[in-house]
Amino acid sequence: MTTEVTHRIVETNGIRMHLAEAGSGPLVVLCHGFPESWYSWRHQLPALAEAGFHAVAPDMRGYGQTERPEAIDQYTLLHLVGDMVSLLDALGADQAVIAGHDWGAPVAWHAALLRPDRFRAVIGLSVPYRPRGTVRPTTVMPQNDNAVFYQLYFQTPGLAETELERDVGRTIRGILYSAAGDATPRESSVTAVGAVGMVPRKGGFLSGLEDPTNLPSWLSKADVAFYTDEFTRTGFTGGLNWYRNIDRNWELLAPFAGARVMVPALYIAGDRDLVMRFPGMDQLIPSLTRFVPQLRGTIMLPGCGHWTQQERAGEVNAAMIDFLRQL
Amino acid sequence: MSSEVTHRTVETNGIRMHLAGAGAGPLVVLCHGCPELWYSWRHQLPALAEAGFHAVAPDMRGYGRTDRPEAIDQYTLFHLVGDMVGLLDVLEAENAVIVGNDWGASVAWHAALMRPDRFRGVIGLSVPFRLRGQVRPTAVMPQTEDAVFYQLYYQTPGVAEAEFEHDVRRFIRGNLYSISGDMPAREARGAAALMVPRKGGLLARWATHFVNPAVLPPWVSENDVDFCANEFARTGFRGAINWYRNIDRNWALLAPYAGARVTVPALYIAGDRDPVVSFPGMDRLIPNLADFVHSCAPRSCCPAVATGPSRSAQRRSTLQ
Repeated sequence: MTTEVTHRIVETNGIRMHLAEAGSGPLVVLCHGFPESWYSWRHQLPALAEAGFHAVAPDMRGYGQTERPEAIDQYTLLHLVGDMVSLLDALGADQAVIAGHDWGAPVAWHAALLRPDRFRAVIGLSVPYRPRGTVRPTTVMPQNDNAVFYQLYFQTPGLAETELERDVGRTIRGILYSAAGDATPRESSVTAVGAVGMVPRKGGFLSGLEDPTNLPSWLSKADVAFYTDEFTRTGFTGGLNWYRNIDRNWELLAPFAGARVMVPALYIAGDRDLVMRFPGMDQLIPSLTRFVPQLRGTIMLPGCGHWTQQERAGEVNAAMIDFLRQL
Repeated sequence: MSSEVTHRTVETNGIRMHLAGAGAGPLVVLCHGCPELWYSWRHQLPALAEAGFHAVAPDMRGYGRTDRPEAIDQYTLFHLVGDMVGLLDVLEAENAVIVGNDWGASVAWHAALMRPDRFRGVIGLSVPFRLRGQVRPTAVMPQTEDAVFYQLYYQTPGVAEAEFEHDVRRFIRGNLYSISGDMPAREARGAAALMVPRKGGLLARWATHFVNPAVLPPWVSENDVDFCANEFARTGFRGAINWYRNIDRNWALLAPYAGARVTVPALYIAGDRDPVVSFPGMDRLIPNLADFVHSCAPRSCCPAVATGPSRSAQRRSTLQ
């Protein structure tokens, strides 16, 4: 069986979508997060293929070689889940297991929530399933006189992209390093205790990030170059537009108030992932089975930061394959 | 058991919603269509209560004594289904059977599609469940050089409102009659009857397809017309017509449900003189509805009944 990664473009939900894929067998769809690429699954594609699965990692809507619709309202969770349903159709697959990391995790969880008939199981990395809250999300995000939660900072069209696109290489290095388990939390950092994800009103997003002199062992110069080239070409607007639908998603998901994800599930995260310290996560994660009753396990990787499947490729591969084989 | 109809206002999905309710027992939610009100279920509320159910008919979002959000994009099917899920929460009902007529049927089918855990059965009147199509709906609605499908006519904000609000009572009265089973058969019955001339709007069709009758048929009284006319005179038609202005947006947002089937027990009731059953595609859809609605009870087509309530429709309004 070949484990070589191949590429193609398919038409899904009205956009052209670029896929990287490997192997044959039951389908596993891998949804990346922000600001990433199919490339974030480079270690999983061959490993899943080797284990007897057809692993497919798209560039998600707005990213890489996939189309980037102009209008902000084309990036709701319903569009993103719609892309994944349509991807199954394009691949001629009745069903798939869907995995997602960071923003890709809400796509995966909601795909399983909306279409349990198509997504027979779900794997969430970093971001757990969050039941819909009772209030508009941006109204309860942390903000003070000096700083705002980064998701609020991302709301204003054009603002964050100008900052992030000024020096794409530095942006990529800074984000990948600062949110990793290897980073040393600093007082001013977006990962600092008590200030998780806070962006200074004066200074912007990058002011809280470190630009490392040496890359951590899981990240090579070639890896940084790949992301840098992609975002230099595409810009960050497509990815940022996902954040600009947070309130719209909340509104549109009203039918799903109180709804539970009913298919078998696995949740994997790093204990140094800044997402663990987002408001409410300390209560949500230990009680995840209330909302995901078939959760087969929560795997908390010691010392691992936000880039779960890149930082701990071997452990994540093993956990995913073990879960997939027991379905 | 009391079968008296009582009224109250609740908070659901961020809006204030007016409800008419009767009876106690398992919950049955009744969703009206356009341009209607809770009042379209006036014959069902006491009958269902009498039969041992808690029947609740809201004024749907945009109608009657329920809130009418300003923005057009506040009227998607996701908002409307969200209203119904919120309604169950307010009524502290774990689940309900949901019933809808006309546009309310689309709400009911999609409520059952999205939340089979909350909506344990569904009854659709007039409008069957339609599988999401391949293309943006307004792109394939009938139009000719002279006329457009009425749903296209409704797309431009303000146009249809101005026409209907010019003489609310005349419009309500004419509309109730003209798409009922009592409207005399004409050559242009069915889909052709729902084409609106590009010049003149609906008013241009008063003489031929849109009739304000001298005498109302027995199922609707002048008092009924008064009730509806008074409500719409107060609220206008914008809220109601805004539902149509989300047809393409609904289609885009429903992409996750491409190919999805309704899996809870279902019943479909329509009149064979209902113009809806002559819409493009219905001749193939309705006989094959069980392909898309797994547990759909055998189709019940009521002879000579259209969108108005009827004795036979009432008889068949219980979940089997």
